[in-house]
Amino acid sequence: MVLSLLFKPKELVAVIRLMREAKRRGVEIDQLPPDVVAAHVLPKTHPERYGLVPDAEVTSTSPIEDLALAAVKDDVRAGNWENAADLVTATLGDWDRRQRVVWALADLAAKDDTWMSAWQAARPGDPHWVVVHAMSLVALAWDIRGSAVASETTREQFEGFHRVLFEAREAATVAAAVLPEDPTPWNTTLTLARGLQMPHDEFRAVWAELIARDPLHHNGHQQALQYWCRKWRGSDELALEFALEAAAKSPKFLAWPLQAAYEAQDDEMWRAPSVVASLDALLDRLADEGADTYALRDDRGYAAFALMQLQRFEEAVGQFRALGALADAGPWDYYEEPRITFLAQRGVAVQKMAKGKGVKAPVR
Amino acid sequence: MRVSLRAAIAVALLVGFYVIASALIGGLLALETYALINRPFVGLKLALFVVPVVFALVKGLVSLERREQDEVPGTLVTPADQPALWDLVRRLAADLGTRPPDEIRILAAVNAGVAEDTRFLGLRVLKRRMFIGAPLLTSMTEKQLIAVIAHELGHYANKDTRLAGVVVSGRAAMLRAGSHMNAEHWFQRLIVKLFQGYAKLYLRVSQAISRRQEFAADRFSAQLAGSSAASSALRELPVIDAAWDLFTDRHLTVAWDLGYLPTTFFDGFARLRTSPELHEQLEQIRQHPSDPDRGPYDSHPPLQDRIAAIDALALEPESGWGDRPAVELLTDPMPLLDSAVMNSLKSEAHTKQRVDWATLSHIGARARVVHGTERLLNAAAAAMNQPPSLTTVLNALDAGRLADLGSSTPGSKDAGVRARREMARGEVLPELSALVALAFSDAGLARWELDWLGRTTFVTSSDDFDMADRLDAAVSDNGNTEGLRAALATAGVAPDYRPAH
Repeated sequence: MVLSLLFKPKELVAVIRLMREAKRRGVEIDQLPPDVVAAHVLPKTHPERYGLVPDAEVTSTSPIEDLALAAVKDDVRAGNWENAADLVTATLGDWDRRQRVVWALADLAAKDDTWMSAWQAARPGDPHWVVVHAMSLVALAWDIRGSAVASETTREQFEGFHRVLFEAREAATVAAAVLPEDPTPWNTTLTLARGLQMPHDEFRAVWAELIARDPLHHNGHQQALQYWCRKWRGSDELALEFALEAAAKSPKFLAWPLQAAYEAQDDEMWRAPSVVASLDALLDRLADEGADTYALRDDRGYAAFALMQLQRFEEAVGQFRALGALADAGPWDYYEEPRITFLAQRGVAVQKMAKGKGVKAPVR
Repeated sequence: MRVSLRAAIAVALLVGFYVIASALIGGLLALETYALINRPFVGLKLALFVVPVVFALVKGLVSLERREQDEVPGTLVTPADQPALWDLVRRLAADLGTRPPDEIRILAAVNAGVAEDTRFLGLRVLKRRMFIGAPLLTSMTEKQLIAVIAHELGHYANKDTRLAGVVVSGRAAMLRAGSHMNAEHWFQRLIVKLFQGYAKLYLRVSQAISRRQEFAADRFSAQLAGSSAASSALRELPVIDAAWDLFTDRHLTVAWDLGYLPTTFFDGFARLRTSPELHEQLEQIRQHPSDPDRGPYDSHPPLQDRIAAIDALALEPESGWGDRPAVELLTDPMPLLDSAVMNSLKSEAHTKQRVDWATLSHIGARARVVHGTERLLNAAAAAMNQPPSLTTVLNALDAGRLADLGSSTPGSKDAGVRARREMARGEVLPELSALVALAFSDAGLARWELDWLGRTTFVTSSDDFDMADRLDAAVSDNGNTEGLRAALATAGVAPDYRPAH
């Protein structure tokens, strides 16, 4: 998918080189390792001349952001659940972090829940256990379903997916009852709403419960934005409307309209005045910030992508400069090869800027 | 092109077939003889070519001429057996000015027709047979049956051109062209191709005649039975066809495969046709009749066109035919109709055990359930290294081997053991449920009923066969099989229970 984007008629020479390379290795052209393909087709630029990290240093692996979380994940992998349970308990009130901790542990629990059973046996009735359990069922459902298109998903996979999502919904209801002030179980329900094709009215009721507990719940807004996208239960217009409302609520949501435009895959929407205004406001905000957190890199990634769409290559290069070596967030993480997608976009931005194409950066 | 000219060309083609083939054989033999006499060496080499060709041509001609050695299908009814049916057919033949059939046979198919034994590609007729499908006799009114018979006889009653009847007989013979040839041998394959090419040409030339004849036959049908009976008969055919398919596919075939047959066939078919669960489906077909697949050389015009044409004629019946069921034309109909079905089955039909419909539905449904438990029994036996039985399955669950009892794989390649176990749960629960139901049924505490659509219902004599909670407990992560084992013991199920086939 990424590669087909790169194969424009101009790159025919590169394709021929790739075919030779494939022949030399005795494999099909689509079996070549992504790095080899990248070496042939990526734009040849000199990143360091523009203050950019060399291609080879770019990585899609996130640095550890939450040391405590990383430590309890290791504990859990070693079969020790106590610290994980304590960390979840300690996050009560810090809702965005709680969401990250619960999701990371739920993801582990979906693979192997032996430690969850031990936790439950040692602390029967622990409300935090129920919160992690509910979220782990959502992760489990997606593990069963996989991410293949419907025609390549078996009947058993679909049945398991729906059965477990219904269980997750029940568990989230229980969790919400035992921890009435916690938005996390409501976010679990928002997350599974897509898989269960929840109707709009029902979804809005769940949404109201979430924002009553945390009006600026970061992941909750992301889940809701996905729900309102055309590919799930909404439309391009509903998604943009939701994103603009969120952006108006808080500057930390200024990238949401860009995500809506990205999901819409619609050139018109990129040029919509409301989207451009969100982008400019976001750029203003980012000017004073680094790229230390995943959320910041996510914002910068979408900003860079938006700037490319608007031919503002110089500013796009600025965002790539700020991102440095980290290609771990959106929109790159949408692709099978995030690193190569990142490098391809960065290379195009540098080339166009060097040729003096597009719009020059305004003086800020 | 005028019909009579077309018919003349068609007949010429029929005759030409023999002329060309004979000329070819004669010519080749003459050439060979000439060569052998004058240049024996060349003649021998030529023989390598001539002999197989002549052999194949002769075989091809014989294949056209060979009378079907196969048994004629259906149950023969003599005028003495069924006087009313014979009187009717003879009267209709007389009305149409064609000769009555020499035989009437009852078929186990939704079909009626007249077929002839012919010589010389249908240029000479030896014997005319009428076939009537038993399902038509039990499902149609007398008037509708008359419409069907009149249509079939009408094919041979074309008064427009004497040759048209010959053309129709010729089509049947042409469709057989080359059918007895050995497809393995390339020479014979070549000759078959030649014959079939000629046959296609003939079929194309005669297509328009046949199509016209279908409309003409419908007109005869409407003249004798009246437009409303004739069009309603056409509408009813797809309905009877669908019901008969369901009857044979979901009931007779299932029973047959298990070694059973019903004691009587047509009481079951009558109940199927009038069952409430099928009413809507059949009514749908009746309102929107569609054409059955009759093969590429069928000459019938679309059913909707025929119905419209018949309705447009708006003809009154020739005489006051009855509205009674067609089956009343028959003397002691049930043994005759059932024997038509038995005759249509292979000879081992007589070795099948005959049981009533209620027993048959239980047996059929049970067999399906048994089939659905085999996978679980085998998986448990493999996991526990024990003989396949209900107890082995329960032992495997108690041993925490649920994940090993499943067969499906999760969609994500990163999925862990929990996803496998969860998928196994979804697979095992219904199979275990079926296995327990079988145990109860074999203990005489429950049975299955099969409705005419082929859907099964589990029927228990006692109210306390609610195993849902105990089954859930058996497959859940923190559960056990105690409750289920206790219930099975109370029902008197042997520990090593395994469903017999």
